[in-house]
Amino acid sequence: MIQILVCFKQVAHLYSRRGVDSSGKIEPDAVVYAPNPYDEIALEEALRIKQQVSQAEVTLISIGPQRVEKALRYGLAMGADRAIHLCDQRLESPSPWITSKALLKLIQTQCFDLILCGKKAIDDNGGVVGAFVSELLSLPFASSVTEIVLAPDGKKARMYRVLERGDRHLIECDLPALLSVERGVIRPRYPTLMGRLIASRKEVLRVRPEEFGIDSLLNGEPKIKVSRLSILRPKPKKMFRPDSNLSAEERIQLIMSGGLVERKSHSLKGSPQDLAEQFINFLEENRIIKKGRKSAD
Amino acid sequence: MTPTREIFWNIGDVRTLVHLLMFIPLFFLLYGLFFHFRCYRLGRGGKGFDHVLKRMVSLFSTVFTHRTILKDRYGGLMHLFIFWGFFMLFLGTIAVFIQDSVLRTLLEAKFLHGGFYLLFKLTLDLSGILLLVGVSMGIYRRYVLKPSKLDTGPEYAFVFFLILLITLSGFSLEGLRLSVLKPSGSFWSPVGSVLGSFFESTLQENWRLAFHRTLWWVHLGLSFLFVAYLPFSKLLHIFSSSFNIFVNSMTPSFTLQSLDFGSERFGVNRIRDFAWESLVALDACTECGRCQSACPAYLSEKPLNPKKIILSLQKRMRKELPFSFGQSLPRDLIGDAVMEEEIWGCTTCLNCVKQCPVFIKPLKKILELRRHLILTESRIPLEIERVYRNLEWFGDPLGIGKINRDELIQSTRIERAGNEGANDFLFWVGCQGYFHDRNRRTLIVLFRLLQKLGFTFSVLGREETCCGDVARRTGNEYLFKTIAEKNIECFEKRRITKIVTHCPHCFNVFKNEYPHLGANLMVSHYAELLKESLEKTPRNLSSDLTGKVTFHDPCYLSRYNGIFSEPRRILKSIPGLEIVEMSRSKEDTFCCGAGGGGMWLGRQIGKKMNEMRAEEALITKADYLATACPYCLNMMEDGLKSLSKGVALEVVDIAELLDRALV
Repeated sequence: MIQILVCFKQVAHLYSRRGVDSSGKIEPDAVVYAPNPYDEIALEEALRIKQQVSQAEVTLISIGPQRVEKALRYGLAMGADRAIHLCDQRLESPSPWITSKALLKLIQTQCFDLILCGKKAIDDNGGVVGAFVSELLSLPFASSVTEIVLAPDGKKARMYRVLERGDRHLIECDLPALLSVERGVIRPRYPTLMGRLIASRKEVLRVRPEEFGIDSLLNGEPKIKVSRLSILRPKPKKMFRPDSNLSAEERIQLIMSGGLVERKSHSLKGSPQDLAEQFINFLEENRIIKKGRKSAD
Repeated sequence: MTPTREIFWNIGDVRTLVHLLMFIPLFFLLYGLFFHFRCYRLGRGGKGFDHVLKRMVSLFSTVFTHRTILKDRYGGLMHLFIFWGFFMLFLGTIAVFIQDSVLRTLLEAKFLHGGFYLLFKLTLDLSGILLLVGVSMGIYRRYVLKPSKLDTGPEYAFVFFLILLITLSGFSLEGLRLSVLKPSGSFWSPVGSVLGSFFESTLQENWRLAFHRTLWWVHLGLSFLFVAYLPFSKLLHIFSSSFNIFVNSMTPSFTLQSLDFGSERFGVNRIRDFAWESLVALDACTECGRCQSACPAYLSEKPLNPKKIILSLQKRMRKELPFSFGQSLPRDLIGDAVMEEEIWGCTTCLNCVKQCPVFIKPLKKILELRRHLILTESRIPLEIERVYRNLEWFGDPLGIGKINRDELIQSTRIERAGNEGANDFLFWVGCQGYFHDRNRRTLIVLFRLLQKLGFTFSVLGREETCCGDVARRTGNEYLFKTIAEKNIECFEKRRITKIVTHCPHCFNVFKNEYPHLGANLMVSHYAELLKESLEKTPRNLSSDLTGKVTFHDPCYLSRYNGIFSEPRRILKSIPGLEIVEMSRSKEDTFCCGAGGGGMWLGRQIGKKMNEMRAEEALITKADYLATACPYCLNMMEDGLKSLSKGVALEVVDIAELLDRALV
């Protein structure tokens, strides 16, 4: 049986800057907690490995306060077998070092052949925890991998590393190893209803820091100290404005895809009269000249 | 001598033989019907037999008046003629049978004689003419006019031919009999006596007798063939459509059954996943093609045709159960009988359901298939998956986030919900209203208007989430249920009982679907509210606002909830405006294309529905295109823009027009 551990973080989507109060803290309503998209992809990789090899068990591990359980349930609904949650209020926003130490303690209680984590968390954009943990465990580490395939005996893994411009490294490493997963062609699955129902019946194993002797770590001096927190009003982002001649669905597509499209140019055809008509229409629609030409006719 | 029917005249004593022969067509009829009945038993249990009395009333009032069929004038009249002609002749035949077999042997009594018999004859003659007219109209439409919604296969021609032959041979028999017997009162059988005098002038009497004898057997044979052929042909609809009206006319036309989360399979991917009532509906299709010619997806050349879906499901159902009693392996429907693109082509506009004369409800089947794709297989179009994630984490389909809902409140200074007792109602803004620039403009105007009209109300602001309409229409029952339960909890916590919505989609789920989940709400759409207010207290409306206005009915108002006179009443109350109608309006309105997830699904195939509708609006030469739905408003504006006709016609919400006119 191949044991796969997936580090699954619940991230805070800071979708709004309007909720910042005077102390520089963000209003709770302005935060949406969701699974880290990269960790979802890591879980998807794990589930695909599970489908490849005959026997495998996928275990989610996460640290943080109680709210994290919601993200873990989502992971269970996607198809993970078990979930372990190191639960403590002091883990609200730990530094990467503390996160790594805590994860290390959790991982040491488990047997594993492969540990997967997302390339980075989209809230703090750190991307170091995977490397820290692999160092602490003295495991082989590869970053930004995708499309992991296990050798039939489960002793080796083969994968691509994602480079710039669509280039790929094909690499192979011995197991056990820790891999951080990049967004590739793989799309994380959306939970089925059966998955949700099974997940709702499963138990998320909740463990306390005292059981692992990392209480002192949480109470001790952090490696990184926050001396002052000030969140500046961000520069107004240049919004992509799609061509207003497009239909709503096309514009939504464009906005959602980040507007990677060339602006449509317009060429006019027809008799001189038609051309003039179309040109005036264009000017009016873009509010370059005022409407009300009708009365002049 | 009193006039009476000479049964078996000129034929000899073949009564017993005929009675024995009768069992052959009856056997085929019953065997065929039994086969179809076994098909329905493949389905899961449902409730099609409660309220039997009400269902009978619904059945007879539909069948005898043709109220649904007559929506199409030509086809409706044609069918009405055939139906009544056929029905009366059938009753006549039964009467003759009763007279001859039952009454004669048992009671030695006769009722087909004297004045009643003459009336009987006249009725049957007229019914025959009615039937001939109907059949001729049918043949003319199907094979000369050839509308694209009708198939012109040989099986239809055969049925027409059969009915035609039976009727004509019946008339000829009557004529031949009259020409020999020459009874008094031949005036009462006009066709028979005309034919009789024709035969008399052309044929000798012994020839007529021989001809009569032959034709009698031909007529009998054809009638038997008709009965035996019935369950294996399109004529089945006589039984299956009637049965379907009985079973399905009472069920709501769009509200889906809430899902049993304890079962193993969700939605439909096999014939056996359907409820048995749905299987009856598959058999009931008369292939009239009305759903097809009403479906916006089909008309805009997308790979969806509701008629085709019903027929291919019907084919699969019949294949699932071979005529023998063996078992066959159930096969998946999606990807085989129905393609994924077809399932996602639907905008849930409900037109197929409203147009179907026999209550088939193709939309519900499509939604069941969607449920399977989403809930069981998680095969989701990318755009819709994004919507689901946004709904689940952010609470709105666009992923903008609840806190941003406060922006509208801050700009209008409307009270946030809190002390409901003081206010008339809660105004439910909806995601489109909060987050779309154009709709936000509408809402600012609408709020101002409501205040001018003297209403006090509050809004939920950041506590509002999506109503769940998108999730339900795209098949994600889990998400819908989660969202709806959260909303109901919020209403209960705040003791909210009266809600007015801006979006017809929110209006529809609150009004028709939340009650199934235990909500107790009084819901109205702002069009109803404005109309009521204008009627209660007449306002001084300026006549400066002039021009023609055409109203685009949102599907979720007009078809789903029958609200189409209210917005028109509002427009009519503005003195300077003249209402002009588009070719498709009120309950027959044409979808803008945004419903049922259509707003987010990138449908690149075929024409664009909003452009088609915008063109329709341009034909009216109106100055304003009014509507009462945020989706429709955007789709229409975009449609006009992409036709480069953004200036010709201004798209407005009815509230905006009323606000401009209100002094």
